[in-house]
Amino acid sequence: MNSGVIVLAEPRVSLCGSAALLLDAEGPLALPTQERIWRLSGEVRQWDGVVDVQPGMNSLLVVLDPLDADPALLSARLLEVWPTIEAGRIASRLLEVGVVYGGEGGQDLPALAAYHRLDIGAVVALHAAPEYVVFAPGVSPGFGYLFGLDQRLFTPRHKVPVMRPVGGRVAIGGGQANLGSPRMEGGPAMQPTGWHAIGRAPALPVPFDLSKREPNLLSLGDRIRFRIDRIER
Amino acid sequence: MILAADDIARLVEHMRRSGVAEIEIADGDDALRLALPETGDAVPAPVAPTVVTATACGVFLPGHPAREPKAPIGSPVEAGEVVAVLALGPLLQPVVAPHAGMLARLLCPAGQRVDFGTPLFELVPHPQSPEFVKRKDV
Amino acid sequence: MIEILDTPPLNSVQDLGRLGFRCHGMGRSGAMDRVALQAANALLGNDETAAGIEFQLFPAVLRFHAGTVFALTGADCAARLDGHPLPPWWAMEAKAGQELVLSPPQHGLRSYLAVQGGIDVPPVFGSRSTQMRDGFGGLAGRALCAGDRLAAMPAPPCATRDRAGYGALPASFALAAPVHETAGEGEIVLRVIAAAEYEQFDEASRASLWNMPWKVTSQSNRQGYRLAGSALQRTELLEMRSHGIVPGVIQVPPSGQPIIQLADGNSAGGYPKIGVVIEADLWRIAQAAPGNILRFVACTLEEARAAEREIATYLAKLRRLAGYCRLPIMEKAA
Repeated sequence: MNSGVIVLAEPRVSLCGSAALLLDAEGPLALPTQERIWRLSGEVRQWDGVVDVQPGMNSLLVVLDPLDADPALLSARLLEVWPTIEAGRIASRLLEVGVVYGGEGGQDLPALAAYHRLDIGAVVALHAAPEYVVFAPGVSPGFGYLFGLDQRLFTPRHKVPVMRPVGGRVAIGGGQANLGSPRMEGGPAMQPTGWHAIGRAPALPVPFDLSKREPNLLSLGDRIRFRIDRIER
Repeated sequence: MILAADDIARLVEHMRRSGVAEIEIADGDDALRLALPETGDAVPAPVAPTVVTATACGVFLPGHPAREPKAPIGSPVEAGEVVAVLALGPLLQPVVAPHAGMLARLLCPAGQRVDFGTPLFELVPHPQSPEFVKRKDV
Repeated sequence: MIEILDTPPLNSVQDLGRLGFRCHGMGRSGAMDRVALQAANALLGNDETAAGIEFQLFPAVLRFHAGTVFALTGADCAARLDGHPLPPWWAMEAKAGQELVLSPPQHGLRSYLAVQGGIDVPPVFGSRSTQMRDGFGGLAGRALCAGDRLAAMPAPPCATRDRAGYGALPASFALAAPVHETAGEGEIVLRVIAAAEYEQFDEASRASLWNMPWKVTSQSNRQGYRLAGSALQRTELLEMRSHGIVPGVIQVPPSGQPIIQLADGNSAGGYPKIGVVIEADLWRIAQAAPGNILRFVACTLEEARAAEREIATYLAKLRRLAGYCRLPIMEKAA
C-alpha cells in the first residue's frame, strides 16, 4: 500500500524564510537524484552569500546570509545549475548492524505488519533485505535519513506522536527508514516520535563523536545493512 | 493643608538650628508631626534643594523609557540612583541623584534636547531620619 | 571570574550559534533573543561572537570575583548590584566581590548577561553555544548550576566614564514593531513568509494563519514553540520527504496545531511548512511567554531585508556611541 508521497514533475526552489532556500528535486525518491544533490551541495557551498548547505531526501536546503545574499538571484541560479549536475556513484563504506526486531524496542511491529497484511517474519525480511544509503543528515547528529526502504513497507507516520524507547531505534516513517543513535548518558529513556519503532540495535557504534577529528562515523553515501539477530514476538 | 517638600525641608532645618526635637502643625482636621531623633553628632543636611544637571547631551527622558513611572517626582531616590536618561540615538546616558532625597520638581520638559549643565531636577534632601506621620485618612 | 551562587535550571552559555555544520545534523543553537545578546556585546565593545549567559528562569544570583564592566539586556529582570537597582538594558562596572541578583521579569522572558571579552568556555564547532539536547558546547554541554565558575576571555581593562554606567534603548523601543490590522494590545506580531507547502493548505486555514490569534502553550522552549488555535488542514494529505529546516519554520503536524522551530530545534523534519517567521522577528518570539498571543502578518523579501538592516543599523550605532562611555585604564581598578 502506497502512503501517497509528494512527487514533483519539475524541480522547485522555494523561500524558506528570509535567509534560506529549499530546492526540491523532481521525480520519485531515487539514488541518482541524491547523488546529484550531494554534488550540487558541494558546489553551492562555495557561492557568495551561502553560509551552509544541507541535503534532504532529494532536496537541498541552502542557508544564506540574511543581509548580504540575494535570495531571488540565488534561487534562479540554483534552478539554472541543477539540471547540469550529473549523477555518479561516490565511494562508500558499509556498516552492518545487528537488530532485535519486535519486543520492547519494536512495539509498532505487530501493528505495522497488520496494516500491510503481512506476517511479522515477512516484514522483517523485507526490512533487512536492502542496503540502505545514508542520504541526508537527520534531526540532530546521528546516522541520518536512510534510503532504500521497500515500497511495500511505506507506512504513514503516527498522527499523534507516541513515546518510544531511545537508543538504537530502528524505525519506519512514511517512505523512509532510519536508525537512531545509542542512548545518551543521562539522556531520556523515551522520546515522542511519529515514526514506527520496529526494532532495536543493541550493539551500535556511536555515529557522532566530538572527540574524534572526523566526528561522523558514516558519511553521506555510506551504506547500512541490517542483520536479523532475533525476532521477539 | 498642603505643604510642599521645600516647606518641610525648611521646617526641619529650622528645627535643627533651634534645637527643637518635635513639632506638630495642625490645620483643622489635618495635622503633621515632625520628630527628629536626638543625635548630637548628626551631619546637617544641605540647606537648599540640589539642582541635578545634565552631565552629557541628549534627549531628556525622566525615569527610563521601559519603566514606570515616567516622571519619578515625589518618589524617594538613593544616592547614585539613575533617575533619568539622556538619549543620544540608541545610547542612554545616566542622570544620577548626587545624594539621597526626593525628586521635588522637573526643571526641564521631558523630550527636550539638553546639553551639559542644563538643569533637570530639583532634588530635596531627606532630612535626617524624620518620622513623617500622616494625619488620619478621611 | 563569575560564580553562579544560585540559579534555576535552563540558564546557559550562549553566543550567536553554530553556522556551517548542518552536514552533521547540527542546528544553529545560540541565543533565542539574538538582538538582546548582540546589544549587550555592542554596549561593551565585545566581538560580535562573544558568548554571554542566557537566563530563562529566575531568580538567579551571581558574584563577580574580578572587576569588570558587564551589560544586562533582554527582559527587564529588576537587576540589583549589591542591592542597588539597575535600569534595564544597562552596562556598568562591577567590583570584585559584588553580587548581581536577577528577579523574574514582569514583561518578556529571557535576559542576557555579557561581560568584557565574553565568557570563556571551549568552542565546539566554532561556537560556545550550549546544545542542551545533545549535550555539547557551552559549559560542559549543560545548563548552569550553583557553584559553577565562568572565566572571561582576556580583554583590555576599562572603566565607565560615569560610575553609574550607561545603557541602550531597548530593542522593543528602537525597532519598529510589525503592524497587524486586527491584533490586540499586548499581542506579539511576527512577519512571516509563506513556505513551500502554503498552497496545500485549504483557504480557511490560510485565512486562519493570517487572521487568528495563536496562543503560546506551555510546551514552548528553546527547541520550539507549540501554538494553540484553529486547526490548520491541507486539502491533500501527502507524506512529505524529510528536508532541512531553519529556526522560524512553522510546521503543521497532523494535529493541525502549529509548531515554530527555534534555536535548539530539529535541523530537519518531515512535517508540512505553512510559513517561516523572518529571522529579524525571531527575538520577539524569544520574549513571548506561555499564554501570550502571537499574530502572523505576511511579509515580502524586501520588507524582511529592511528589517534586518534596521537591526544592523541599531546595533552599529549603539556600538559606536557606547565606545564613548568607556575609558581604557592602565591598571585594573581594585
